[in-house]
Amino acid sequence: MRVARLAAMAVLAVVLLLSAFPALVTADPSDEQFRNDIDLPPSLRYPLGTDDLGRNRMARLLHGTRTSLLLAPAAAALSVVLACSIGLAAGGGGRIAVRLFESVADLTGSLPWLLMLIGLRAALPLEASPFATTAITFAMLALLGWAGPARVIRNLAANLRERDFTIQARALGQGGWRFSTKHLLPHVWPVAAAQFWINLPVFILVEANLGLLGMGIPEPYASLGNQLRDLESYQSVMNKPWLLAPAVLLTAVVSASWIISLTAEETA
Amino acid sequence: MSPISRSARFLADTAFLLVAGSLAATLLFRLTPGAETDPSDLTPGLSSESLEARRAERRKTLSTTGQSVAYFVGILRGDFGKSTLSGAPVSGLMLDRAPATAWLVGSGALLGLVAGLLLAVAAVLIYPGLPETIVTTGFLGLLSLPAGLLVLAAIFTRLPLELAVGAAVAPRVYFYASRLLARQRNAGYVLQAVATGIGPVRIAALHVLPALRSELSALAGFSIVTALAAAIPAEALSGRPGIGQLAWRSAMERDLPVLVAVTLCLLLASRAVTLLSDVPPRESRFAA
Repeated sequence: MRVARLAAMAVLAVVLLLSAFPALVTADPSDEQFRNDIDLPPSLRYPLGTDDLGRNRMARLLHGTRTSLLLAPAAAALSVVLACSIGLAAGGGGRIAVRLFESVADLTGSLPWLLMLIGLRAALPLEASPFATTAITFAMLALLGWAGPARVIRNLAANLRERDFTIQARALGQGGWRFSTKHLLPHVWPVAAAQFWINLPVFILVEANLGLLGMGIPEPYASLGNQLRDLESYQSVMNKPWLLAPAVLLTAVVSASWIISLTAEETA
Repeated sequence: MSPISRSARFLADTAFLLVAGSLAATLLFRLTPGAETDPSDLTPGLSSESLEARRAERRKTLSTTGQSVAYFVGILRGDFGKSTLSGAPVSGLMLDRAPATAWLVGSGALLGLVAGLLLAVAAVLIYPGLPETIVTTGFLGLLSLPAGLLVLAAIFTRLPLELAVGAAVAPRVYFYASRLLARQRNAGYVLQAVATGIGPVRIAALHVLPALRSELSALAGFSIVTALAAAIPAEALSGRPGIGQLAWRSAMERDLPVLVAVTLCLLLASRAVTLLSDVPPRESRFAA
């Protein structure tokens, strides 16, 4: 498992490096349209060819990967921060607080994510900027993803409160926020990190599904999800197999994230 | 927990979810910035005064508390209002499409559950080692594909859509089940059964799986919820007329009453499945 984890981290590091510095592979910007080079097959200048608007597919793939690999971790981190705050607060609450927490967490956990995100995209103003749409989509993901991690963290916090060192700390008069951050958080941290790695591939996959349905990151922005839309035509995929590159990269990135999440869970 | 308190909790949870879910879904769709925007606002020739007047009218309709209460009462009676596009009752639209979605979700969940569970039993209990690694790697790949891509693969290869939904469910079942089985494999009574020479299939069928009744029941519920989520892209991309396709179309055409109703119904369905699959663990005969 250690070898698999190292390999997964190496894959993620390479993809991150290439997407952070796309100039290492291609100098073209992702949204520039080369009107004389429309729908070209792969070549030295365009390693994955060009699309219907004459944009360099490789540049779009790398920029799209950057969008997904920047925003999905940011959303996963935000959801874990939310989960820690709510879970730690609920872990120290009374019976009613725990019951309320369970009901709200159950409700949030039962929400059909894809449908909520589709609904949110549909409800956004028509004149909403691509940046706002992208930010709102990922923020919504963070708001939907707190329930699972919060339940794990609450159970851990409730368990920690029964331990000798926390009883002693409370007997010495410590309580509230200071008690949570000083005594509980250091023990909760490895579990929270594992929850981050669990949420990360889920968020990337949800964005990919949204992109396939045409309700993901809007044009002209590129993301791993909206690059998959080209796969909807059977003829295109058969005639231009290089269109599968985003799917292959997505699978590699998500597989690597899953492997890290599985090993992180074991160590936590 | 006694059956009476379980039933009471189920009813309380359902009531809470019905009210809170209705409120949350309605608020979400009514208070988002786009609630006041309509595609017809893009009609060329509309002056800014006309646009503002139209928006003010919509705002008046949307933000009235009485309207919201009437909406909730309607939902509790099963009346989800009318589609803003076709004018047809939303409940009728959903009922027409429910059988197709129920079939897709049911068969996809069953396929995924059976495949994931059987392969987990085979990989963890019967053939541990290399076969386990191979199956795990295969399922990891499947787990890394969005449901939409699995659906496209099924459409291109002319395979039934149910297989694509099953393929979205199976890896999740496999990873959860294999973890449970690996834990149970090392339990004292299982090791004792192995030591007495009982075969792995018999151990799996008679010793390990019955002890995991509660967890497997939860897994069955989880399969249905996962299949429900996979059905949305499946129906949207394949054009199969189900509730998922209805939701997707209503989102594309900004038909909010339909979207809210579908979201609520799927939320309640998934919550009901989760609560019903919450079977108490089996009492151990050897418990102190």
